[in-house]
Amino acid sequence: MDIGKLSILAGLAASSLTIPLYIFSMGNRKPLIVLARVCFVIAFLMGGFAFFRLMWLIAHHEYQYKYVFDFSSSNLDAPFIYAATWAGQQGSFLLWLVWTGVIGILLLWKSGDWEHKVMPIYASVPVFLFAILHWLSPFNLITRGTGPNDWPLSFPWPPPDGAGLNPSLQNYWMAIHPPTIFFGFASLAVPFSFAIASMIWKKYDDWVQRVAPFVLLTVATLGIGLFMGGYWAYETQGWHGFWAWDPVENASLFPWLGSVALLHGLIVQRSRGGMGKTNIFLALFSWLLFIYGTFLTRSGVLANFSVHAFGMLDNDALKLLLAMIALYGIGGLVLIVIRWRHIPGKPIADNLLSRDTAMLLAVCFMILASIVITIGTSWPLLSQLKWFSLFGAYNPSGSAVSKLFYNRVGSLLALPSLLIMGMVPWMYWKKTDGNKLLWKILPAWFLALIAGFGIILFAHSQTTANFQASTPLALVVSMGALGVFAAVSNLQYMISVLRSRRITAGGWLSHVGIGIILLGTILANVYERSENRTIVEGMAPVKTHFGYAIAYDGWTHDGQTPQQIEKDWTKFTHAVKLKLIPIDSNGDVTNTSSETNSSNAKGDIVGNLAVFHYWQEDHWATMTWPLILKQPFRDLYISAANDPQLVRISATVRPGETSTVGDVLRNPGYQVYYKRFKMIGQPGQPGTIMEAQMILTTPTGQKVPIDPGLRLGGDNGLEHVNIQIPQVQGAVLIDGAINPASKEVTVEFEFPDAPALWAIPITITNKPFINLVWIGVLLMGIGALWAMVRRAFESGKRYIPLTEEELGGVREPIKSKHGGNTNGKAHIKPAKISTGARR
Amino acid sequence: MIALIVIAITMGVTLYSFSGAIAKHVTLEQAIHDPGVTLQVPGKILKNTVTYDPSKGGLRFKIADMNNPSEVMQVVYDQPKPQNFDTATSVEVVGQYGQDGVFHASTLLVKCPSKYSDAAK
Repeated sequence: MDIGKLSILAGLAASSLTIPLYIFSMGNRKPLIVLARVCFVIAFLMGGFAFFRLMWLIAHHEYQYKYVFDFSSSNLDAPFIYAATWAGQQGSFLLWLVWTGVIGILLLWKSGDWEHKVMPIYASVPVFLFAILHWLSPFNLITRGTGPNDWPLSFPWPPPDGAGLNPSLQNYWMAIHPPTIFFGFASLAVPFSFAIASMIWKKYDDWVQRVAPFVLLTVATLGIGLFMGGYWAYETQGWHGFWAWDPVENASLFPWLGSVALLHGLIVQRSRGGMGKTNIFLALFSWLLFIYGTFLTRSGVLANFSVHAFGMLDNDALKLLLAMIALYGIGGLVLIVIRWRHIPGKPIADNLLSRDTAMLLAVCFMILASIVITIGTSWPLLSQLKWFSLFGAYNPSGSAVSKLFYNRVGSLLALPSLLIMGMVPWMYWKKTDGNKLLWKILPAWFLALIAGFGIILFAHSQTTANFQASTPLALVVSMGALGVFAAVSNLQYMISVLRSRRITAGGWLSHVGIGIILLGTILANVYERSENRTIVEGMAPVKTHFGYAIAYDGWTHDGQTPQQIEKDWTKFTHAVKLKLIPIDSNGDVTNTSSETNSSNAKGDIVGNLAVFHYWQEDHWATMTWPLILKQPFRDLYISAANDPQLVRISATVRPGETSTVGDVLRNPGYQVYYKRFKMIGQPGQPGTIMEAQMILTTPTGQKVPIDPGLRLGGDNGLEHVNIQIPQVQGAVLIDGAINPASKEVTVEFEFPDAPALWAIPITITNKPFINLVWIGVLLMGIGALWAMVRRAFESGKRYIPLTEEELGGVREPIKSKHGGNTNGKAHIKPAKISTGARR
Repeated sequence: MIALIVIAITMGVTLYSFSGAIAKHVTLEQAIHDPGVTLQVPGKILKNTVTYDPSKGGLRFKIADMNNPSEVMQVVYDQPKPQNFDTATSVEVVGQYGQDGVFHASTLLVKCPSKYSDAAK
């Protein structure tokens, strides 16, 4: 048995032992608690050992292991040889396990008197993961034998090389994205464990500041991870976009929205003592959503409704995942029901115009967004339930919701959220003076109005004869302007707190980022325009409407003939070089010396457009890496619309006919006479050759007999024969097949004076302001991490609700004293408006 | 109270968003009998019918019903050809069957042979 397998078993035992040890320690029996810690650390080390064992096996090319064989090969370099560790299902579970261990150690260290309450619940996660990895082991050897899936005994053993890593994964993001997003996923277990523990131990207050830094860690890493995935797809897949509402993307979005809602609920509870029930619900909810999303994407139930490939999980592992949902879901539900009356519900939001109300609404919107996206993603399953026939939505083979659904719901929830986000910095807890608020938000409103007009002008400049935005202008303008409003307002407030309480600036910075992301998303998606062009070797640069003419500039693989490239698409590094020549609005080249292909004038840009084929399990797949010209205010996104093809002069002739050899652009004066058709061998027999016997007349009058043919290969493939024409240093190929009835044939020629030319069909997309999205993501991530540092400082402190003075606002303490008196009464009197807190 | 109103509004919005945004997964025959409705249809790609010209009209091909090969439908997709389309054997087309007797696809979910062999297990 492999030591990796042993370490999984040891980890399973150690993590299982942790739970009873903590429970029986009751928090004060010293030896038991120490033993429990030791067990957890052992489990952590075992998980880490298994992970690095797998990495070591891959790095040392131990191809007798199935996982190593499936996901790596000897030509992989660093960092991909290491990143291949998490290329498959098992590896990603291992990654999840390792992060669960790391975060667990952090939790153990930082949870203080909560340790024995939280750890037994948290430790159940590695128990499940170790169990899944035991049944779904990455350390299985390839079986040798005679079965259809076995490694034949006659083949060399151990296998000399692996199947290799899918080229779409051979990208630096493969080294960064999965670890980031799995860190975020793993950290979702912390608020869940705290929520369960707080219900078991009936301590509903001070888990809040313990858990806050962890939730911020989740929000930051999962949020950044989500967009990393989007950027990865944008940069390498040639999909022209970064978000497609695909089930795989949604499955990470809805737990993230849940954790952002939780974060805001925790801030309310910390400041005002309310929303205790909502927070417990949200902590359970986001964790369950994550496991549910994992189930959706791992089980293959949505395989008909996604562009992503779904690896099918082994049945036992799938059952364990379902057991996780059932145990955590039912356990959490039962606890919530039992404890519902015990959880203190403190009314908040006595005044409509207060930070309380704003936060309450924000939390509502985020929960709703999360639920709606979950329902939308699950719709292919839900619509198979007979029950939905009541609404006429039942369909036995399932229905899918389109992007339109998400875009509608998304914008309808985003608009009010942005409005609230822009006002909340200037709102006080409990009560806000409406007039003062108006004055405070005036500068941001003003800038938002300007931005709105700017967007209208921009929209008009983009509307051309053949481009009309499909999204209503009103929606674009309101979304963009509100995005600016939220960003400016929060930036303004952030700058003001930078002077006095720097530590609290993080949250506001995140809001700035969100505002910018939504502004950039709407502009880039609504006003993206595409054009299709075919770039032909040796031809004049092809003009576009995006400020550049585009010309062919060779291949990155110099020294290979076109025929070699055409035959061998599998070279990973193959890329067409395209030259982008700046042109003005009349289509004239602005730097005159670059009309010819030979010289690169100043301002010309040469970039690579990669297109290659790769073998995936049992078929050839095409992969393209787009050429992205990044400019401050837009991206020019060029992807291959089809495989590059060699264009040759040709003639289509029947026996007895003579035809000129040429194409639309070229007619160098060759003629071909089709003498007769000849078959050597039996029809359908491998090795049979079908020949078109011809006579070629050159421009100088030289007559050359040629007989291009097709040979039937073993597996019904056709091979070209008699290609070379040494007399004229040319070549000839039969294009397609020979017509069986008329024997008509199309022959293609290459001559020194009429060579084969590359034609590259491309799609050019102009994406304005897309960089705003990435800038926004960066700000959001930095802000969330900043806030995490702040909450980490607070986490060890005893739970003290904020004083009246602190509640009154940061900037005007004198005013708040006055406000504090009147609000004090409302504080004692239970208010009616508390539905939100009791959700 | 506020929360209830918000929930009510959003649920209304969700239901409204559902309308016209749902694509039922139906067979080819059902799609032809339901023109103008957005549907998702699986089919086998008839390889010799595929034409692709990015500059005019895009991708055109015919698909045959998964179970009844004699049922055939013309599909038009006026966006860049998806990767792996050339190697795919079957496809899920999402769109509407038009009065012109052609299925206008807005989304193609390309299915590769390996996935179907997995599903058969």
